[in-house]
Amino acid sequence: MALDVSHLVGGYSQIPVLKDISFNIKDGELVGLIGLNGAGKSTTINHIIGILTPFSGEVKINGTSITDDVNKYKNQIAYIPETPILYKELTLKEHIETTIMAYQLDENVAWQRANKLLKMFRLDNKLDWFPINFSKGMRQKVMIVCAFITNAKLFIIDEPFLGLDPLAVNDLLKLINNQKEQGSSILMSTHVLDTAQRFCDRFVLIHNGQVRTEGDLNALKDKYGNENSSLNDIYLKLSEESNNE
Amino acid sequence: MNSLFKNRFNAHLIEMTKYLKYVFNDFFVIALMFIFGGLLYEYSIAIKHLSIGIWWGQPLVLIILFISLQLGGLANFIKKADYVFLLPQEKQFYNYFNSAMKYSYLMASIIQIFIWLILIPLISKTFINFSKVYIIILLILLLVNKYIILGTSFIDMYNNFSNKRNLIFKIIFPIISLSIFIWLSDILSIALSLIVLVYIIVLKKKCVRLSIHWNKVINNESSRMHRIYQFFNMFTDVPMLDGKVKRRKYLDPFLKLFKNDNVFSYLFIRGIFRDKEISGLYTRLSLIGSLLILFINNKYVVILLSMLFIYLIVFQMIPYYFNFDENVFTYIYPISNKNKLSSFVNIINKLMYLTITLFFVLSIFSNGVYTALILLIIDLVELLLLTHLYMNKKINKAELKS
Repeated sequence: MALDVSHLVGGYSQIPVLKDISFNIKDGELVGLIGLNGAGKSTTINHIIGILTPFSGEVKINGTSITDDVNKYKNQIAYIPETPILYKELTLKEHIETTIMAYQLDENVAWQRANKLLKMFRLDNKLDWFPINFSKGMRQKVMIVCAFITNAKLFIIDEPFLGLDPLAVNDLLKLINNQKEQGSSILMSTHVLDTAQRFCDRFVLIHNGQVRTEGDLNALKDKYGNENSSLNDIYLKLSEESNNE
Repeated sequence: MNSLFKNRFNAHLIEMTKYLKYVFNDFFVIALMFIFGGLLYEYSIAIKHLSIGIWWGQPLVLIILFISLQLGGLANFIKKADYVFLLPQEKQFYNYFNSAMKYSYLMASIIQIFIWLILIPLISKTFINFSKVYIIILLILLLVNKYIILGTSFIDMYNNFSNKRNLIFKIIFPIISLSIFIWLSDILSIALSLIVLVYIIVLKKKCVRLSIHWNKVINNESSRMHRIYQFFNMFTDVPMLDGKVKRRKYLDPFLKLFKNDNVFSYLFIRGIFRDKEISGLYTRLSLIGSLLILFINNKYVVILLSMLFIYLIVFQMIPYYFNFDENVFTYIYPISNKNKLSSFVNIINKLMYLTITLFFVLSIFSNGVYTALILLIIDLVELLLLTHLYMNKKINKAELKS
């Protein structure tokens, strides 16, 4: 099991935002994390990447929890945040070098990968620039490049499509597919449901800090709609139901 | 609208007193008294050795007066959101800016009078044509010129298409009128200035019908406030400073002089080289210290000053240890904090060796080799105590708190 979240209760202060969340991701699986604004998606992600400490329950990546071995745990994660987070003092090249240093990657292999990715996202002539001054889409691309040069087993991608041009969305989906084929797992949170519907293997729908439902599209169709309903229809229906409760 | 300036002004005063409290802490007041007293003493001695008609007296006075005229800009307390929220009130901003002008002119006049007072002994010693009337005409000339400069800034806030006006009335005219005053005729100079003053006042009155150049007004005000915050940042943490960065490619070769073997040392040294706040703080304090050491010719004062500046620089740089903590990736990377402190200490030490070497070399010129050697040893001991004992304690304490 690549990622195993079991009975996670957690949040920012004393009051729990997440109330007993459990789900898992298998090797080579792409799971979509879906929910309304404020449902608890980002809080879940913050617990998985280790920024927040659970009140109870635990998160394991390939059998290791953060308390077992911090470095082993973190070595397996690559994270692409919702809004790009960059070092304002570093150039694009230095961001890649920092990533290589932090994950202790082989320099030649990592740079080979980086150059390919930089070319793909048309950033190869901007190595000496400060990415902090780039546009939102280009900053997002820098985050993608830095994440995909690692050997991470679990990619955590928070709302990746906003601000990316259609070409880059396509390239990103290809990259995600490549990683899947190599056995890495991906947790992706998004509001772009038609893309999610086409590419995710499974969905976890979070509502009010709880897992409302989970399963692949067919399972969701059986449970909450008919064979013609899209993920969007199911999602809207579920949200309405929850509001009426 | 009329009360807006008053409100903003009061908020500004409260903010400034909050920061001034940190600037004038006991420690700094004592240091300031020493520095100020020392400088005045040196000045009074230097004055005694001057003789009337010395060749550089008049050019020096011209330069000092010209620079002093540039001090104190038009403070208007405009905020970025005003452009959006007060858009329909554009006409009323003329009165708002007038209040701003009055306040700014008052502040600038105080600076002018202060500089004028300090320069009286120098002028009386070096100018042939010195007299009481002459010196009072100089004060009037300075105040008129300052109004012309601020008035030009005022006109510049409106869309009235002239990019040369700033150059002419803020730079060229002050130089011309001061030169005429010093070398030709004081009466001619004041007469010319009064004519220009009338012209500026007329232009300023016409602005009431023009539209405001918001981009310029907002940018000027934010860079003015930024300079103020930068000053306060030498004494305390100013949250409004977001820390701009500059590429400074020419410094890249020097990166190799520092350890680059872990993420933290890699980040720290690049940050210190490129972050305008921290690099500015280091260079400003190093340069001010160096200048004082070069010009003060008293071995005790020089050694005490060098110690004071070493302490100030190290003390101010400690918060930079936490600079990268707000970036999540510092937590997400599979790295440990083990090397963080030693990397930081290593970099601070190397930077301070440079400063101490500078202090050492300059003190040879001002106080001789013997004093310089004592200064070198004392400063090095102080540095090692600071970075190895004091810094540890400070950082551990701050980390426990968070």
